Amino acid sequence: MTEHNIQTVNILRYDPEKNNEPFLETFKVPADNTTSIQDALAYIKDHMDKSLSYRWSCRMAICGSCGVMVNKVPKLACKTFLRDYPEGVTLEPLANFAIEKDLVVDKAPFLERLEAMKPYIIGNDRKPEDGPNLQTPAQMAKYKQFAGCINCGLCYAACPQFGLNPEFIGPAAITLAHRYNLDSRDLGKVERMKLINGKDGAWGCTFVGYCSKVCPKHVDPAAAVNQSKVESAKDFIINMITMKEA
Amino acid sequence: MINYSPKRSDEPIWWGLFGAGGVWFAMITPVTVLVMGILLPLHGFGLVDISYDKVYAFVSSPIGGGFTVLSLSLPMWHAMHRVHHGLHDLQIHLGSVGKYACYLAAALVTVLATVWVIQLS
Amino acid sequence: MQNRKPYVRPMQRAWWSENNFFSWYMVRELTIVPLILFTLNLCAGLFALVSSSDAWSNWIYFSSHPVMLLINVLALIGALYHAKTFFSMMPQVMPIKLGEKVVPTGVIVGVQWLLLVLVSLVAIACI
Repeated sequence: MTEHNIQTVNILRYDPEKNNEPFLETFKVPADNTTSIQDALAYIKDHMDKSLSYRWSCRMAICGSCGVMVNKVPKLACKTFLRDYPEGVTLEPLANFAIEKDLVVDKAPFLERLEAMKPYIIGNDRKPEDGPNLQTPAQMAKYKQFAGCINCGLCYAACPQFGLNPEFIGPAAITLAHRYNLDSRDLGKVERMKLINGKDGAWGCTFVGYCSKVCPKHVDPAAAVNQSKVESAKDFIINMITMKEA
Repeated sequence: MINYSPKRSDEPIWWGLFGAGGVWFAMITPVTVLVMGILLPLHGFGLVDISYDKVYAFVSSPIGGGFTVLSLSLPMWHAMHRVHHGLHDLQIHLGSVGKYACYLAAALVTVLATVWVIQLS
Repeated sequence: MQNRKPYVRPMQRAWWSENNFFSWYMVRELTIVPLILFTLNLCAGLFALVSSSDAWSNWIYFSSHPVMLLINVLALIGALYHAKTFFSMMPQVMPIKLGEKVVPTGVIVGVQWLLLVLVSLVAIACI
């Protein structure tokens, strides 16, 4: 296990103060069976080029900060290992986001979307003296899968519809809305459906399905988005019958 | 910037037709292609007989007529919805003209199939 | 924040060729091309049926042209590939519950294939 070899790590570099466009730079990094992409980046920063910028925090696939493209596939750097890439790796910042510097992208559009979905319990006027708001296991099972999102943004890097239409609300945010819409304690569905019903809401999706493939937490955003289409279609019919203004 | 009060999309209509067409395309189109597109022009390899009278009798019956209209129209609604979104995937932006041209084509097939089936029965 | 100069990478025109997953997505979307050609030809067949038995014979002759046959074979393969993708998406779009438990994906996909086979056999038996 301690057998060391030298691995090739290509990194897409971009310094906004010096470069007009990104370029690839090659590093040779010592690696063994336990070296993650994260470790390789740390090695480069410590020993080869201290100007390298990348995001990381927990090193254990829960903070969602270290998403990068590994050979064009969105991955968490901390749970991806060099041993699986004997031919070397090419690291690029997450696709479909603007590059700030090196592997750091501007995640503002992503965070803005999560916030727009009002991801908190709405319209429940229980007071602390009412005691805990109990849920049955069945009520929890409805949304539990969709509550596992760590906001890493890999699904946005995987989504060609987000790449083609930067206005698309996108997988994680719609999944988050769906998670709260399915929660028995929540009454905020009407507010969230306004955004889901728009052309850039659930309807911006064509079920490519790659978001669910790359999700490191198996949240299955494609399922949430397409179930949201069903919800939006129901909402459309109800609205038509009751002749309310959208 | 996020548009917090977007217009309600009319996609549910097209998506509903797309979904119904998708089920038909998956479940019923395979055998339809096999029979009408492959066996019929090859004269059933001499094994099955699909004569003019047989097809005529089927299409002019109420159930057969309805089946014929659905066989032609539903897959077409499915297909034209995919054409509309596929053009966007190919970065060919035709706007609402492209969108309505697609659905008009599907509507035309539906109307023609209905008229012809009615003429027959 | 003064020195920000975010670099936006343009979406490649052939983005679907860069990744196998996207290529198969495009194959799925392209299954409608032979479907449209088959359906339009079948429309012509209906018109021929309405016109006369001679027109019907002419239409069958047209349909037996190698190019039209090739299109129809592609339409059949396309329909089956569409079925494969559609059946596997179904449990994601509309998860089915029996009591408290979600029916496993494999069962739903299997049942749909079974239905397809059944429908096809019944149709062929009716000829």
